Amino acid sequence: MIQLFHVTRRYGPGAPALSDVSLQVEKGEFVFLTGASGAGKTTLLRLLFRDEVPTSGQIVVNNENVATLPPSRVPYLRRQMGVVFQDFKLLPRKTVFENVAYATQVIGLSPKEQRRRTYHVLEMLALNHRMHSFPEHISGGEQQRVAIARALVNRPLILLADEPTGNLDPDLSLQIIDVIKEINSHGTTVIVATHDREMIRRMARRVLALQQGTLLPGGSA
Amino acid sequence: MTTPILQATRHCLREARDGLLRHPALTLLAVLSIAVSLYVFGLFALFAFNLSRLVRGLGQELQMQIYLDASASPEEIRALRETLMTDPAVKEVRYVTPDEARRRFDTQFPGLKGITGAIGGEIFPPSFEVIPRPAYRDADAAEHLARGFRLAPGVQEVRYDRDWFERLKSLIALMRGGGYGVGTLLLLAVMVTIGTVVRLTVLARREEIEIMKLVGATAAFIRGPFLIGAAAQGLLGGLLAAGGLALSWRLFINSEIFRENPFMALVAGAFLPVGGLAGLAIAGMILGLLAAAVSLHRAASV
Repeated sequence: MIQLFHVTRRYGPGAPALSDVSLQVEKGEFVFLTGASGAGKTTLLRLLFRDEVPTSGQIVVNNENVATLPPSRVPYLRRQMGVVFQDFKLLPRKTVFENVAYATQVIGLSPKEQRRRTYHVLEMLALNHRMHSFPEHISGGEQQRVAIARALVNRPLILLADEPTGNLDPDLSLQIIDVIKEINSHGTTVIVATHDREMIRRMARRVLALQQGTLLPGGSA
Repeated sequence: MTTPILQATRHCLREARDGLLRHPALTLLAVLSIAVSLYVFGLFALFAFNLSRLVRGLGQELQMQIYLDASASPEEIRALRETLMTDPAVKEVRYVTPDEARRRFDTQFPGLKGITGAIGGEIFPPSFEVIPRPAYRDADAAEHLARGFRLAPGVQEVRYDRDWFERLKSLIALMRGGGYGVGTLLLLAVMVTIGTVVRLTVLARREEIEIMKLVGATAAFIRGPFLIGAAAQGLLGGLLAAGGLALSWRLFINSEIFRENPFMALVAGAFLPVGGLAGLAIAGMILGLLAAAVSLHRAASV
């Protein structure tokens, strides 16, 4: 599903953010991407959804070479992915329902289908009682669930989560990870970037460890 | 059934409306700035329009004299008249007999009345007075026309006021050059205004744009509302400018300054045609679109 071949990403003359990273993630797999702050986790995720392009190397996502993808094709690549961030990235002026439905509107679903999918995903994430609330009126855990709902509503093949529990207390973190695990059990490939060692230990999934932009031995497929 | 295109159009219109209403002060500032810029442009266009009418009027006085040989036969004169009347460059032709020419001379120069009789003989040859069509009232066209008739049978000489043609040509060129220069500057000002507003709006909605990109929105989907919003602002600014121009012209021609200065009637006596006013509004819309497209490319990379 995801393959990286000798990927390097430089931002300037200094040390690269990612250096010669090669890895493979199978379809339906759940993988943790770990490492200290600045290890290159976010850079790697950004490369996967083509927010950035590698300085060298190739990235293949669902048989498409992301590195050479023309800009006009990028939106279609992103529709195969759901992305969740530590800071949720919700629109404050839109309700929970509107935030989630927005993603379906963007891809041109009919209004009926937009409503149907949004209700469904909100129900799945136990958010239906919050659908008319605005983000600032719900808890951090709920906000992150809304972000996950938005990432899932278009039924992506891949879920990328960048420190999804970084702003949450341990109990809420567990809830969120349970939700992501549930999503993975339906066949969605999941990559979670985190430095939460406790969570990684409890989940017992494959770990890709980055250190100063380099994938540590044993972390690669 | 709702088609994706219809849906996208609805989305763009709704988002454009929301975008304009979300920042009313910014929208108002943009519309007013555009209106002022286009108003000034309209004033210039009005002045140019009146000056152009003046030049056209002066051009009506341009004429060419084709003097005939005293020995020109009636057939030659008839043939030349036919040729002149069918020439696309010629608007009007008038045959002046020697007697009429003499009468004119006597009227224009009464002090020299006796001279014509004293000289004797036929000093006033028959001639054709030719008024060229407006499109041929410049020095090059006039010279081209004159050259064609100099060699015609029965023609002695072709004369026209080359200096007058040249002056007219220079005046028109000056007007055009100045018009293009000032017009370009004013239109650039409109574009900069709209572009700045769009950039500010993009910055204000950066987070939203980032999320739209994240969930797979196409560039057209993201840009559409901004483009429509900018076009609407441009159109509104253009309409305000057109309305303001009509109103201020009406007030001006009813003012004492206008009534007491005959020169004013020459440079501001006529108002722009309806097409010109519509053009002002449409120009605002097109400029809005262009400025927004450039700004979006720079500010949002979408």
